[in-house]
Amino acid sequence: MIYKVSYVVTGTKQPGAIINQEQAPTVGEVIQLGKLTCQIVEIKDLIPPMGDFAYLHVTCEPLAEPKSD
Amino acid sequence: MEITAALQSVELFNGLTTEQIESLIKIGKLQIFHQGDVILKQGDQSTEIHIILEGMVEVVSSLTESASSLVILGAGQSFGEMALLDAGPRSASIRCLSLEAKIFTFTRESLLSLWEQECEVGYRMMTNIARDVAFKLRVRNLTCVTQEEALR
Repeated sequence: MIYKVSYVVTGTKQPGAIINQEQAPTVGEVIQLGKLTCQIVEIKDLIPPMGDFAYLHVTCEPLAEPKSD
Repeated sequence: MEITAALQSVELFNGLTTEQIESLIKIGKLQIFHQGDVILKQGDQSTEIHIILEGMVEVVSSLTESASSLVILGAGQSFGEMALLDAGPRSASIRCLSLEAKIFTFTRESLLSLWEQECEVGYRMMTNIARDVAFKLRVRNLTCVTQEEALR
């Protein structure tokens, strides 16, 4: 199964992300979105699976300030 | 990187056989971009559709404050599908975010021509594009709600 996952980060101007991944995301998992480190707090099925694809919407909270360039 | 295997994990090609994907590879081209490269420019009249095989890009709109990033797209995502469908100007710019990004590109003309000859391929790919656009709309709606709640 391929997971097409949309990530949204609460409380920041950080843009969301849409990424295909082979592993399902899990609540509590720490991920890197661009320059931001955040933690997954909620996972929803966005639409029913189709073929080899599952569609998820993930809400994250930031864990650290974005790294400066 | 094996392009056939990479494209088999892309939603745009969901439901296609290996042979059908290989015939599509013949009409596309692989491009490599580097961090900061502008892949598409908002307002341009180009009509190619692009698929990210490796790396990340950001969608940037000059219509937002300080030309901020709208969304980040990673491997397996496509962009440019709106101009493929309606031949209109690009609605946003796309910039390479990762150190390097491998992008597979089809021209509108070559895809439409192949779809006329291979109707099943055209039907499946158009269905997949429609699902991708619907997915992005749903995400946009949910993102707006999340951001509004955060401002309260």
